[in-house]
Amino acid sequence: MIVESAPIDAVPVAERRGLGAWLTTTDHKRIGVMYICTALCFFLVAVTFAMLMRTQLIRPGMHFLTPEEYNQIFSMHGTTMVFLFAMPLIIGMANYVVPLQIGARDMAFPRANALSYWLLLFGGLLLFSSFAFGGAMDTGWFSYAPLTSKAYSPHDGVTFWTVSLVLLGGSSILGSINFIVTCLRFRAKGMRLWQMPIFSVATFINSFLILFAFPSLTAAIALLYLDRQYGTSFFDPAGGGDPIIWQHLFWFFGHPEVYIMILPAFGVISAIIPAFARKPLFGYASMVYATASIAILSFIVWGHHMFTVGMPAAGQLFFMYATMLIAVPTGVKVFNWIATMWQGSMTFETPMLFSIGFICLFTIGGFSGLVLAITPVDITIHNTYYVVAHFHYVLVSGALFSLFAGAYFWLPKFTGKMYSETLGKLHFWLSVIGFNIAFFPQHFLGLAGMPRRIPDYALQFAEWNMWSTIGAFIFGLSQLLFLYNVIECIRSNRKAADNPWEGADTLEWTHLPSPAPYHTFETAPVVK
Amino acid sequence: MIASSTDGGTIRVSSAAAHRTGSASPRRTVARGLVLGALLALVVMAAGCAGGQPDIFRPGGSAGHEIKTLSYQMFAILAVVLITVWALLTFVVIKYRRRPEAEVPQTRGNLKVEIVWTLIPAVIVTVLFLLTVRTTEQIAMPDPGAQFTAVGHQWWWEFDFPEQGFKTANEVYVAAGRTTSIDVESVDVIHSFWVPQMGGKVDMIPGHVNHIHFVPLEKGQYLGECSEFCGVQHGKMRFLFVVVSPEAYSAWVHDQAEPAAQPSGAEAVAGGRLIQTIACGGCHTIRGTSMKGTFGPDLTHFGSRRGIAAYTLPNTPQNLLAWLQDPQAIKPECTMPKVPLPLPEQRQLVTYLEELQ
Repeated sequence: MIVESAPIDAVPVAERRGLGAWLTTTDHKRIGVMYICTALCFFLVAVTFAMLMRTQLIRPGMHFLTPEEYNQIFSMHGTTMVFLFAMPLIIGMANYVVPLQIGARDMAFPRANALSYWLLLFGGLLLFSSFAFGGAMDTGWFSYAPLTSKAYSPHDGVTFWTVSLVLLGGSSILGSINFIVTCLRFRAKGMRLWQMPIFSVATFINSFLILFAFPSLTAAIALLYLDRQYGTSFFDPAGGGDPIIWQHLFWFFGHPEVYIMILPAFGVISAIIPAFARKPLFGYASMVYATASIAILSFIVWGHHMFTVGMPAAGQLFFMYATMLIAVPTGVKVFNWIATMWQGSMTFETPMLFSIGFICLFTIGGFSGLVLAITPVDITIHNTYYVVAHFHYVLVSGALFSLFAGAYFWLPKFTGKMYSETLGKLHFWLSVIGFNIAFFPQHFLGLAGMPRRIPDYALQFAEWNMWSTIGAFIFGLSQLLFLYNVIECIRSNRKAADNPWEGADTLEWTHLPSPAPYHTFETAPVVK
Repeated sequence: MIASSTDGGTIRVSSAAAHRTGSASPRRTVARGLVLGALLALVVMAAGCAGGQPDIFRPGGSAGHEIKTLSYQMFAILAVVLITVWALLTFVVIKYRRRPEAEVPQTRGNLKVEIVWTLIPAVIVTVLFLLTVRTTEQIAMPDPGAQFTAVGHQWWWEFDFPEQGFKTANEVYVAAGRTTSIDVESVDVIHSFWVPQMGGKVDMIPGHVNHIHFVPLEKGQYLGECSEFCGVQHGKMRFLFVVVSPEAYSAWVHDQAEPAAQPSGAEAVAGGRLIQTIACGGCHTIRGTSMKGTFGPDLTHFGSRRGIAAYTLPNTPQNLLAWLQDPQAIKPECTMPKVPLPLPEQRQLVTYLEELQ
């Protein structure tokens, strides 16, 4: 692909500074930065919640939190991590990077983009304000009916959660439409759709996932709201409703949601490995097919969350096999990444370390997921700590590690400064060690029969819980190092080169200075 | 800037970007880290297997054995794949460190290779799927029809034996070697019936009757737990699942079907009179007395049970006294109210209840 520059006739817009300019901005880069900063603030809160939970679980007995507090904290930990950290961080990065990568001046709908951000921020603040109005939601992130009904959750935490999730869902749906249109209509002249850089492709496909999955959640939430506020009985058997409907609606959203968090992460890894192996991505086309296959399969596997509700055998077999099939495109991706490194010329800066750590550990999460897909095994370990271990291997060493990789990778472009490689590596190793000590033992706890979501446990689980807490604190504290590293990077005077990575070859590196200027492209990139 | 225009996604650049050195130390650190990580994982796995605690891989029920075998097959296959991937990755990371650019082939893919490694995982998961189907058929067994119904309440368990005409709570006996068949229901929110060492679990869903059956094989006492989050005291919703010989089971059923024992001794007699005059009967039943409430656990043979408060405290007079004095301190938000009586009268209640063998 040859990229040339063509003059554009737009008059460069003067950069506006100050708080007012940020509050009213429709610039995709500033909105991206605001998304990322907001996500990191919520991350800090959600990590703190995790530390509180692990403190309670360090030994048996009710010695630190009451059950009411514990239930609010684990519910808000999950909700915050999913809706207010992982998704906004992914969307923030994509907001900043995708238009640059495809040579677009901005997102397709800049004002809708700003609206997406403000919906997110106020949705999040609304959710957290419930702490001041009688307590936050305490029903878990998937909040099964009828526990969420007025009868069993009379306080307003659940109501706050429903309204907040509608706002967050609206924000995500609006954002996904924006990304789809941007990728379809605003690519540089001459760039074909399947020529987009792989991270942009991942964001593009992911936007369809958001677009098709979130309406199911919004519908479920709307029915719940009617049940709670207006006395309808969609989920109440006494009025002819059925709590199982909630589970279907929720998991029809909930399982794609896992891939909404992980597909862009795959995209980040696919962007970083070629840059540090100094080789093109191996099998671009099969990567795209794999991403699309995962996206499609993710909509027909939701039933694997519901093997214990009394599902007929045929349904169990269908959902089991569909779930196991996801291992195929995922396996293709892992092999392609290794093939990209094969015969490469690798260096191991922090983004690459996190990418390799991701492949090693995410594979464990993938395999424990395969074990969980096996119905007879699942009905024994469903809702135990084995599941907790599984999804943390997927979402922490999977999504979070790749987001760290992406953050270190693009930090020079975002800030115009180089981060400290020493601190970055320290952050990586402490995270890997802390993470494994925290979550690997939870596999054993699950296999030994410890249910999830309990603030106190039988004596036999004490030892591994202590180790898990120690690991969690190592992991949690090392995230402060990350925040420090970002702040230190911004305040340092280590000017970043326009392209600090030898092997990085997408437009944001090759055509733009660091940081990307307010008016992005002085000349329009044209792909020949 | 020159590269192929046929392949998507990459815009190769050979500009003189800032040079970054790939010094020796980070490479070695990565390789060492990978090896250490793998060793750590193995040690931890070994330690986990060596632990002496009861777990689902020491099953006491029929399905458990087949599930255990299936799990081991799964773990073995997946461990081989995992170690292969890690070995490949370690090899690549050690072998292909920074080297002269000219030696780096700019390969963009290889259709044959990509098809091969699409087929490999497809074959593996299909084998796993077929193994599972076989196990599912092995586990399947004739169902004699439910012997009792387990009913989930926030936050305790009711076991209803309609044929024998009694209900009990938080402790249930079954016969070793015979198929145990249970219907499960819920009166409030979703709970899940689970005795880890008996194998699978089944959700207790309001408006639905679910079912589970299996053969308990090894005699013993097993912990049962609620495994679907059900509110404030979900963590304190346990029960005792006791597997005994068929003879002992028949004896237990016979005893449970009897009305409550007559109190002996002055304190117990006073307690038995007292309990019928205060509000207890609004929620609790003691067969053979005037107490006919159905909201709370049936107390007819309360003294025979090993635990109180849904098997979260041993059933001792001290614990029972503490429970009557302030249940909310032990289990906040449970529906049991305080019993606001002077201490001597509370003691009479305790003595009476403990005599209900």
